[in-house]
Amino acid sequence: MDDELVFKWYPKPRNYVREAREHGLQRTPARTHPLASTPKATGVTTNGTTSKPSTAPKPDQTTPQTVTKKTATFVDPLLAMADTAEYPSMPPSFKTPLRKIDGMLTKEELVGPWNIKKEAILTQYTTTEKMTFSSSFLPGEEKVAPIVTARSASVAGKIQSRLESLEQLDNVEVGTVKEVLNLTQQEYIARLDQLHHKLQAAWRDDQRVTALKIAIQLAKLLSDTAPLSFYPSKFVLITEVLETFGQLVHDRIQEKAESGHNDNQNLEFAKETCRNWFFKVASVRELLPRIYIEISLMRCVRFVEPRAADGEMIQRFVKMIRGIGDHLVASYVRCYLARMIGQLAPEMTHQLGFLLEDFANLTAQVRPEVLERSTKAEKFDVSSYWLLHQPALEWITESYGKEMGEQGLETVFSLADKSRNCKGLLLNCALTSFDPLLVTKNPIRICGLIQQNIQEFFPTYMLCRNFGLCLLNGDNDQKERKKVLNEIFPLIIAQKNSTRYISAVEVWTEYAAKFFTAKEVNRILADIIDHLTPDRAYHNCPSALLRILERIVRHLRSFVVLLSMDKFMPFMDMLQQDEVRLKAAKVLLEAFGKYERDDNMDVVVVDGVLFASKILHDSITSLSSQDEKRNAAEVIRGFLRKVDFGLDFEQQLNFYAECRSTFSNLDDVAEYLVRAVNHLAMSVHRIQHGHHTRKTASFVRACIAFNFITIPSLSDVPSQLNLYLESAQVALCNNCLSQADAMIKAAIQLFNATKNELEVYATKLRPASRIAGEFGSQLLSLLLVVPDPPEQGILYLMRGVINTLSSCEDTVRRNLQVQLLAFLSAALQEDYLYHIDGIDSNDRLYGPDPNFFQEIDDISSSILTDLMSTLLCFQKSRQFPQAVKLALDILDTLFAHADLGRSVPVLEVLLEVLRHHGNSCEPKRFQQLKSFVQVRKQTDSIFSTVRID
Amino acid sequence: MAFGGTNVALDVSVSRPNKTYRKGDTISGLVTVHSSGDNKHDGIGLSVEGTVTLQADNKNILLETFSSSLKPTMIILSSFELLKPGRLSTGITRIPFNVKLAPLNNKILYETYHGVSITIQYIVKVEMKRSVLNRDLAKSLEFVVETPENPDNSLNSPLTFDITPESLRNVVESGKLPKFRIHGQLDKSSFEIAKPLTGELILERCDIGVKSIELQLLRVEVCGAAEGPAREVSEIQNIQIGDGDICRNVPIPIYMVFPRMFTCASIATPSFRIGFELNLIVVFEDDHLVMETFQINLIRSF
Repeated sequence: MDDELVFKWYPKPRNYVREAREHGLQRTPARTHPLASTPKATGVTTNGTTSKPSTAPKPDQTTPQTVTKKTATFVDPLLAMADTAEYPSMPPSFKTPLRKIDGMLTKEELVGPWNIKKEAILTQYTTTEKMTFSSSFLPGEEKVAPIVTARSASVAGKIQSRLESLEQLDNVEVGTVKEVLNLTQQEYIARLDQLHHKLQAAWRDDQRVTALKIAIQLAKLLSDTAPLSFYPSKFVLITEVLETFGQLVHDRIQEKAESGHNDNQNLEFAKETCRNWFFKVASVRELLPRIYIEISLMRCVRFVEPRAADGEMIQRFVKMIRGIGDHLVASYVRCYLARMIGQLAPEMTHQLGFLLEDFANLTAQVRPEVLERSTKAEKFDVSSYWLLHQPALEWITESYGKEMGEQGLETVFSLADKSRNCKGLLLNCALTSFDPLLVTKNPIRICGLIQQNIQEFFPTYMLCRNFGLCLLNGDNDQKERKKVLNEIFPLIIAQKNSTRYISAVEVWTEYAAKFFTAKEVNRILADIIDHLTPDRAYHNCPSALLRILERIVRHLRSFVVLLSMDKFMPFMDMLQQDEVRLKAAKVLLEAFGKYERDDNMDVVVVDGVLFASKILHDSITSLSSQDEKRNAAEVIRGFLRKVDFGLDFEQQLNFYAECRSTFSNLDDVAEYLVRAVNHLAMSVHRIQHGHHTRKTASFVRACIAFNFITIPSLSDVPSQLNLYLESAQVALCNNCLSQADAMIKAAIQLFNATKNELEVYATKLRPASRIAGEFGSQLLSLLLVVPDPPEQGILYLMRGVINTLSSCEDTVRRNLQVQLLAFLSAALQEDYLYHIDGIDSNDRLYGPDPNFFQEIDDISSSILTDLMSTLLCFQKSRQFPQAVKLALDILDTLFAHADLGRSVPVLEVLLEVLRHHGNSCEPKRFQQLKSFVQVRKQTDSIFSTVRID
Repeated sequence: MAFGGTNVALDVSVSRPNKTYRKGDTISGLVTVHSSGDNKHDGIGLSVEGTVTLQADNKNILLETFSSSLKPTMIILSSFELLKPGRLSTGITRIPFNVKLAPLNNKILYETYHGVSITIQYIVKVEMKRSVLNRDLAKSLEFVVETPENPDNSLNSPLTFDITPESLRNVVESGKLPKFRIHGQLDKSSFEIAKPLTGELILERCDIGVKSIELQLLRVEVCGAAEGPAREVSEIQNIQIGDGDICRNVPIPIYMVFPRMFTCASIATPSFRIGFELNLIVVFEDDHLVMETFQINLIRSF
């Protein structure tokens, strides 16, 4: 390496003002939103989504056109936003539900709601009791109870055997009925499944009578209600099989009707088959299986009758069900009938009224003491027994309510009115299945019904709860609401069981919050506290308490109002478990962030929210996931953003200081605080129009001091670096030179200490070298306007930067060195590109000081020399890619900042490297360079000496 | 099984899916011959036969020896040659036929019925005569005959009933009877056979629980009037209409579909009678039962 080789840097003298005038394009105000599509360009832009007013100068007119061309092929998200700004909601095609498109209800749709209900039933109604399964079709060697076939064989040969087979259909004694005892629920369900498969298999093997017999046996199982708690699930499972059976029969007949060519005759054959099925089913001896199978074959009726079901037929079913003595069994048959009517003959839905009527009339005959005797065996109380009817009855009222509306509701209400035993049950079904707007048309009447129910067994709390839920969606006048509240609340207060109480009061708290004022809510809260304090009952229902809070906050959004209730904080104190407290805090903060208006900020409120935030913050530990942290920080920031003490800057700063100590665990919050304080300082600056009084100056210094202390507490180095620079800028703006120096120094020191560890913070999009590069260019841009401190030497801070270079990683160092060349060239100019108001930068400080120029000259030349020798080194060691990259970097800076006429030696070396290896190592940049030079040659004579090829 | 390996299958079918015909109808059908090889035959004949078979109850075997009226009586017999002797080629041969349904002279067509001691049956039979070495082939198919009449509505009024402990006859252990009252009606006394039997029942009061309420359909067959009638009563079907302790004072439907083949319009002839009865059976919780019997007339109208 040649030690003597020295390259000198000759900066280009610049006159920024003239350059801007000569090279800048003419500016005109933009009339259109550059992103808006052409047709509606005029109106949208001015009140569009972008915050920049359209009067802002746009660089030139060509850009918008190219952009609009592009929008033709891809959907620009901003453009889409601009479009939707005009239409407040989604385009209509998104709003139209798919199902409405062909105007017909699909089968899935009809079955859909039942599927939901089905799942609910299966999860709710289970048992741990042992069960018995009897069927003749189950394989298995368990207890076999042979049943004597009563009929003795008689004479008439074939006909007789046919007759017998017909008679046997009901008894289903093919072989023997096996009774399997002691089954758990799982085993029982497994056996049902087994039979389901067997039925399908038998059907496939053309064993239709066997399939029918399986179906009959399964339907027969529904006559046994033990164990009671499993019965609804049993119903669901078995009717599923019956459904399959009905479908199989239907499909088979359909197939028959459609096969072959001779349509008429095939249809006749199909009808005959269908009639045969009906004859067969009509001869089933036992009532319950016969009803079930007949209903399951209802879909086949259309083959022989003009309609799937006419009123007469439904009437027959309705009346037949009366023959079933067991009320629970009957309720579920009714449910099955209602389902089939809904599926096959929705126009007959009004007939469901008869089912409800029968239910009400027949259950009235139940004598409680008899019922008690029969349910005692299963340790069932009477009210739970009636609750077992709920899913079945609810399904009927739901279907009925959908079709019949107000008239239907009137029917149900009057039935409830007359009913004995089942007032509550019917009322509850009405409340849960009808449109709340209808239900609440006459709320006083419902109050009466609920009060009447007290003598019965249906749980009052459930009625109160469901009634409350209806009222929340109802449309009553205030007088009615008040009356209803007064009628119902005593009933809730009377509830002794805390779980029941809370479940009802939960809804009514929201009722009070939605329709009344904090006063009423406060009264309810007081009652809740009274109820739950004895025996610390609140320990048992934390999630319900949380829901109460959510329901209150949903309507009483203002913290001023919330905290004005003297029972609110005592109520919050009942939330004791950490997890619940945390959730409660989140609820409050989210509501605060979303709804609180800025103008009612008040110390009490802020204290309250701060308290909640602290709970949230304290839940963050070292074990919390990044997501949790981000979430918490997001919520807390939402709250901080709202806290605004207006012109009381001192208090604002004090508040931030308090927050800093409170939320020390969350980097994001600390970062937010630094920015907020910077914002605060700049607000003061703006109000003072840049001229601080002594008082405001010291306040601003306090702000900067705050940041100076806060920034090091962050753990993320890149944010720290950023914040240092930001705060330094704020300090400069506010004429706090020494603080700005301190900030910058701190930033440089931090960078020096961590420059080789930045990998830790790197991401895929932002590698460590880029973090360093960005920091470097920001720092140097700032340094240009920072005047040298009088007690230190020329370009004191920049020397600090240079000092860090020695131990820098190579690429980072070279990158910074190139940037330094640009910086130094700028620093040499007589008048800098930009200034900060009230700050004399070095250009004014030094004036034409030869020492200053000399200093810069020395530094820049030594940097250039260093870079060039590195380049030559690369070349020598044949590391061409590195060499080309470096050469291109230097050349870019050279073109922009150096006096090319005097930089020929450097240029020669660079071009030499590029000529040989440029195209192979960095073809893209090389091509760009070539075309750049080509263009410049036409205007700048100096470029004519630049030969690349 | 034919010698020489030729396999021949004979089949006969009628065009109506429900195989039901009335007097004067023409039975159209098809005789199908599946032949696996060249098939020589001595003619294919078709006959339509209708028979009334009276048979005494097993219990009275003695009686049978004296009785002369127990042999099957032909009411239709018409036979003709469908195909002259010849050969049938390999594959499926279909031969259509049409026969008019008409009784023999001095005979009356009765409805198809299969009972215990009386059977009225109609078949169409196809027979293929073959050479000495081969067995003759035959195949028959039962079809159904209905004899609708114009109903006589004048006698058709509802049958009401009112069952109480006092109304019972043949009471065993009358002291143990609970207090009860069951009333209601059958909608008619003559029922259209193709339509269901309908009615209504109300359990007005009953001091003990009810286990089951059932409808039992019975046939009453009387034959051999000359030597003193032999009366045979047997159950056709039993249908439950109430299961468990049903509610009081609520009308419960009486509903039953008459099974085909085993019921027919009621018949009364000099040599035999077919009639029907309905039993309403109420079984109490303690397994005691009360029963009310109704004579019902079945009719078939046009």
